[in-house]
Amino acid sequence: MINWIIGGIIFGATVLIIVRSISRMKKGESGCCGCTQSKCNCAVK
Amino acid sequence: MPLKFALVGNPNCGKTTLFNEITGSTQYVGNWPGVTIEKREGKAKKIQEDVLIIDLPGIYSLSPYSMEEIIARDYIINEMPDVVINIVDGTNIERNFYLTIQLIELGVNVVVALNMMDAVEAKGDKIDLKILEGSLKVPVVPITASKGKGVTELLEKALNVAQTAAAAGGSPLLQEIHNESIVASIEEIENRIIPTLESKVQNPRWTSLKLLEGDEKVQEALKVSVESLNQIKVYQEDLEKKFDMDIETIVADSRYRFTTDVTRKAVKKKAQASDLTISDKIDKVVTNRVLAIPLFLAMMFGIFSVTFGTVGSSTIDFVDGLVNDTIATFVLSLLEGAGAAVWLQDLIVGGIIGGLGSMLVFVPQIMILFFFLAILEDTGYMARAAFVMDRLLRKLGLSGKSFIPMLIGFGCTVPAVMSTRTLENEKDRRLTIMLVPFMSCGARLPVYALYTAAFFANNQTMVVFSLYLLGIAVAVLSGVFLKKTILKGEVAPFVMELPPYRIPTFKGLMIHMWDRGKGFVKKAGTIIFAAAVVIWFLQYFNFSFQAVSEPADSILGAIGNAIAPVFAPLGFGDWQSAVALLTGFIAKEAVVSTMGILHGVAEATESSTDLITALRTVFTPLTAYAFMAFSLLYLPCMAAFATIKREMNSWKWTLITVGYSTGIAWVVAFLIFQGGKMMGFN
Ligand SMILES: Nc1nc2c(ncn2[C@@H]2O[C@H](COP(=O)(O)OP(=O)(O)OP(=O)(O)O)[C@@H](O)[C@H]2O)c(=O)[nH]1
Ligand SMILES: [Mg+2]
Repeated sequence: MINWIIGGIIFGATVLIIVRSISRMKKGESGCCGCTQSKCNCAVK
Repeated sequence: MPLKFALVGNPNCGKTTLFNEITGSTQYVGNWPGVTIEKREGKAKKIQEDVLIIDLPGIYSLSPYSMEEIIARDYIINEMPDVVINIVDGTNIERNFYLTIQLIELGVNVVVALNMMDAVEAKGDKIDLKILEGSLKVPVVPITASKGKGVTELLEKALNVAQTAAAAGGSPLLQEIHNESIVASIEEIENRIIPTLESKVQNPRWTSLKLLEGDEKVQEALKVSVESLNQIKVYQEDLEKKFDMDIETIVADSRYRFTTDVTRKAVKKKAQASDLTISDKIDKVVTNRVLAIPLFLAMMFGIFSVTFGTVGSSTIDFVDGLVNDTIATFVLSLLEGAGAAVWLQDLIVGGIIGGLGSMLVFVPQIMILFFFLAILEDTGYMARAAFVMDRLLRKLGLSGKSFIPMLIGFGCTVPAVMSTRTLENEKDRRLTIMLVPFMSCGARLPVYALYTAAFFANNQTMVVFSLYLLGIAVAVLSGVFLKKTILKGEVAPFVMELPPYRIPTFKGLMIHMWDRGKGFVKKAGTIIFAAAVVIWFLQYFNFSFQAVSEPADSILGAIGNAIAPVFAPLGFGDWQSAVALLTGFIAKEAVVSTMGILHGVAEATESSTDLITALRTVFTPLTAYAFMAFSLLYLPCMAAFATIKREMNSWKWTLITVGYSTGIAWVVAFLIFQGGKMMGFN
């Protein structure tokens, strides 16, 4: 039971992260450089 | 509807510092002109009213000569902010006022924020605010943005202006600034030509002035007909004959005369003991033709020695012990206690903790490095380095403007590629984008830190330094090569203004360092996390989704074995290295985390070794060096790739860039390995 719960959370999070990065990159935000400088588009609007 | 206050001022006068102070955000502040290249908005936190603050790129005038000037001017004209807060560098009033005058001419509500008052006081200069307010007819508020002094008063004044004078706008002061014959021509154009134009004119007075000046952007925007242009020409020629100068100069000249006059009346400069200021004296040394480059190298070497010397290395042992021993053991016992399956234990301990841990180990070291780089940047030294490099690059036929993006590239390729927008020439811009990825970005550091710790423990500094230099050398040589072949063209002139030396603020340094650390941790928690889980999955199962006992038989092992032969001539033909380089495309740090997983750093089993020991069985110092060189030069990470594609706006050029860098990486690593072998290294 615990295996499926924790495993599910981990794989779910992985899929979520991948989907989110792809969609952010499509929108023209770099999504993964992690910086918040005004020069990057990464900063949340 | 919130009120809108726009921050407008010359480059490097402290707009972003003020923006951060008012909005509580942490936008990038750097001591060189052209840091901010896009507009940013933020809500004012210091006051009750609903106010939106807009940070704009720095500009010298409202004449649209460069991209930044067009962005800023379009914003002021089209979006009509309620108040334009004009930030003026108090130590350089005369030059800054040229823009102030143009804002006043525009007839918008202007409040002048006289910034850097601390520096003015330190110099012993006196500025008479009454005289300034009297001549400019706008409120002038002294502030010190970096210390937050005077900011509340500034906002109150601006609010006051917005609420009382909202509709009226400021007085454009034309009579005061310009000669009467110019004013007469402006009035004639306003009365005779403006009404005949097809498009509706928002601001007839200012538009007339711009038409008189021959501003092409305004002509285009209003679709002024050839007839009207001819009519305007009559006025222009009249004035040109009268003053014996071309019309642009005439108008600019009267603005200069006005600013000089105001400055002379209001500013009492303290007599300087000598003609040379301290700043000039330092510059004589650091930009000296002979000394400059050795000095720069020595400085960088010093920084690397601290980062990779005792101080830096001790942080590694600490974090390593914490993550890979204490936390891993604790989590493992927790999982065992809860009765988790073996695969789950392996996923969490071997995959996630092992993968992320091996990269996070280096975060403190990276933060130390960026702390020092931030000092160089904020004091203004980096701008000098750019200036010196410009001289060098120009001799090689490259534009010195390329150097700033390259400098930013030491932090992260993504903003560096974006900052190439300041290059007007399309070919130079492409060229710079192609070179930027060769600069060793922060994400490559964990790779160096890991490999040098394993193989060059005694001269880590030297080796890391040599890799940075290798990146620069490859970039410069590639620049020369590309400029001679596929990107031929003239070298665009580049004038770089040297900012004054400043003592960095503690807050500024902390923002820089924190940004880096936060960026790394955030990345570890997202992209690297996802990569680790996927890598773990692929090395745990085979194609029929059965757990394998030997990772070499897994899906990942098959992929790695298929591409490994490509790397064999470079000295690292094992499947783990091949896979690690592949995941390096996701993010360069993933090279380290993948190695961590594949070599079982935080393995739950008895065969638990640390990554460094494991690597020593696979690599030799020579192959390790070739591997680091390859990781430095080969294709940039996914985020950089996407940015390059967007900025190049062409698949062809993006693929050329990526293919070129990977090809170069292969050749360089090949030469290092084969050459080294021939010379008897191993
Ligand atoms: N001494 C002193 N330095 C300041 C003050 N305000 C800002 N600075 C420094 O001035 C430099 C430039 O600051 P920024 O805020 O990046 O300037 P900017 O106007 O946004 O520059 P661009 O984005 O390039 O147009 C930084 O090194 C700041 O630390 C001040 O009040 N006093
Ligand atoms: Mg700025």
